[in-house]
Amino acid sequence: MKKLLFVFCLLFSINSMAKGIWGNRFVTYDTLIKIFGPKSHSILEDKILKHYQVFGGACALMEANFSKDKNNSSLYYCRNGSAESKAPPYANDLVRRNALILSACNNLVHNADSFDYLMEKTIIFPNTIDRAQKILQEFYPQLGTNKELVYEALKTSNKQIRFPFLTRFLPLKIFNDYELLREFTYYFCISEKWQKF
Amino acid sequence: MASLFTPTLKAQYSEPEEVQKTQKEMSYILLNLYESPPRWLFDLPLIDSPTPHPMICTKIVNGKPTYKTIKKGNINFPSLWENKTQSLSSSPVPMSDLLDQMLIIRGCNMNKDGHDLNSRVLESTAEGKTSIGGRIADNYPSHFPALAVSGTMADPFKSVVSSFNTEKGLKAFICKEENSKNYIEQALDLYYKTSSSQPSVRELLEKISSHLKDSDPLSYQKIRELQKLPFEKIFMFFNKSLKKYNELLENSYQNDIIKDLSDQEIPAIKFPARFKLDEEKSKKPLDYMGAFQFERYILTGSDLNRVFKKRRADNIAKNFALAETALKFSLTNVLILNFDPLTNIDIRNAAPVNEITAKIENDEITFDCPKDKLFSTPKEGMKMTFDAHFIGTYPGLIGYSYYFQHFCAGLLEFKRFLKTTKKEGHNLFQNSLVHLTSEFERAPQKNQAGSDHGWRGHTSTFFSGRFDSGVKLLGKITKDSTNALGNAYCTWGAAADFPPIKREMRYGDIVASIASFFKVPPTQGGVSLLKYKGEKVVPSFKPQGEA
Repeated sequence: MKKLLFVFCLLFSINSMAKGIWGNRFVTYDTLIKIFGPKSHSILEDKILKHYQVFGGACALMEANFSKDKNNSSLYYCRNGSAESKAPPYANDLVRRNALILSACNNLVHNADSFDYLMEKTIIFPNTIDRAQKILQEFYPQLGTNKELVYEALKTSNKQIRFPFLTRFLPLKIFNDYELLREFTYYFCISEKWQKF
Repeated sequence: MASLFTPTLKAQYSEPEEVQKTQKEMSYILLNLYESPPRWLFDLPLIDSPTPHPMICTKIVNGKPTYKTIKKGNINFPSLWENKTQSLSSSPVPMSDLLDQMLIIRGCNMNKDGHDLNSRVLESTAEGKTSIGGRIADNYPSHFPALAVSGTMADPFKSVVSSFNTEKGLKAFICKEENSKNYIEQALDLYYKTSSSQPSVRELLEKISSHLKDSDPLSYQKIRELQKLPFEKIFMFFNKSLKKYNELLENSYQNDIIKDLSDQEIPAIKFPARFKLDEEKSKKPLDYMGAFQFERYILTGSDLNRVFKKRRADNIAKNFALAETALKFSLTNVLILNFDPLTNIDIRNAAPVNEITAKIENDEITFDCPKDKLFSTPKEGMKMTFDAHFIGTYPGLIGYSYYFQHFCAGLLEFKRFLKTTKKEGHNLFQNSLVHLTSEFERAPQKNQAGSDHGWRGHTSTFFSGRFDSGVKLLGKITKDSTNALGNAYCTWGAAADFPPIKREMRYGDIVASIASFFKVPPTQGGVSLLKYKGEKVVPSFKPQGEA
């Protein structure tokens, strides 16, 4: 009986872990600012940090990162404890959350400062596949080297930016590496798993 | 097997289903007069011979505030209903046109005091639990679980708009007062401006998921549905609807007449003001001039109607335009709309109550105010809060009567829209429940300087195409009710025992009634006051009045 109960508990905990919880606005912001650099702050503030009801997250633990001006500071800090905050601890509205992520990612990859920051990290790699691999690792370091996924993603990106009917005849010829990687980055940015724990 | 242990998570992270239209779409529209204006002027019929109080009045007759009624069927409605208001057609229409397919539930004891507390109760009694609107949204799914307008008076985190909650914990989208975006733009902006994701992208996202050995919630499917909305059409419809209501209200501000109120001069106090000493009164100015108080000022001038000449109630137009747009394009089936009070109140030379001096000579008391202390409102005007603690008989009677008349113009037009807009073979009115309410009633102060929270009474008025024609009145109110201080007794709408249930009505009974209408399980315990009779919805008990 005890063994059976143990198995149940184990299965339950594995399942719960697999489902995970969604990172709140600070975690989401933190991940993206590390990938797209400090100049992406205003996009992230507008699309993520301000939407405390959608992303959840009562208070910032590290005050230094966020705006301290009078109008915005109350959005981030709870100087009298987390009960002061009007933000829920975590979010349920996944539709609005993902719509905001779509919007944030779209802005990030089309903002020269943000996207170039990421591109600079990849410049040391000799070819597009390796550069794409680096981008994948920025979002999903746990995946390590995953050429299969990178290739699939590059193929989809290629389809999106070129005439789809030509892709079957063309090799994965990189004549606009920058645009291809922009599309590639966008997919991984809007994917959901990096937002979950 | 393990998923058996995590039903909530499973539900939350499973792929959103396509909206399954297994039953006809039904809509719930909550119109909340946040801060509770005196409903005895409008949709709270008192009893046949009410215990009078000078503050409970509907007209000025021979210079005195008087409570007058008009009889419709066997219900004595406040005399405001004898007036006309504006419509989109060239001629004014009787306000009483609204008295159709209407159910008034009065005499509900809210049991607790407090605006926010009782405002939240209109949706849900317990924090975080599924609210009645949430249950309706779950049963009749749409793009947004609920669209709400908080208004400028309510705290969006404390009032009724905050207590909406679906089974999955989804909240209402709250539209705010913003100069850059109107209500509908605020709600749709997020989906309008995002680039659409193609099916191939979805495939890729699924591949990413499979590499991560996890399943995706793929909320993008729902986002794609939202991205397909005809945005330009929706924005255009909202703007057209807003323009329509703005013009209607403008017409109403300019041309509405209230018999025995706006058609006569109503003089206010003239300083120095002399009164015969009354032993029952203190020497305080409010005991003699409280009826003319407006937010701690005593009004002066030859005609109080001038105070309201530039009045505005713009939020009425915005709210109804949002409701029309949301229902027309099936954006939501639940709307929670807080209404703002009149703005642009124009006061000239009012005396601050604490600057008024008193002088007693023989049997006379004379009040005066130094000229340099007199107050005039800033250019942008003042608001006339619904929470009339400091609004005396005269400004209260005139201001709230005007408000209700304008509100009636808006509601009549909204009702016409619902009746003339068809969906799934029925007009929208047939499948809607419009709920007009506020937190509680108002109990007048003895000196007529204002009215306090009458939380032992509450009125909820409903409109629906499922009701029979005419008006049904349910609920009992007491003849002699006290105010908060226990120093004035009159009939103001406090709950009395409702014979069929052998107790005072409570809000749970109203929630149970709404739940019956929508055929969903109630979220609070109570007795349903409504039942289905074929396609029609009728009172479960014999009404106290019919018109």
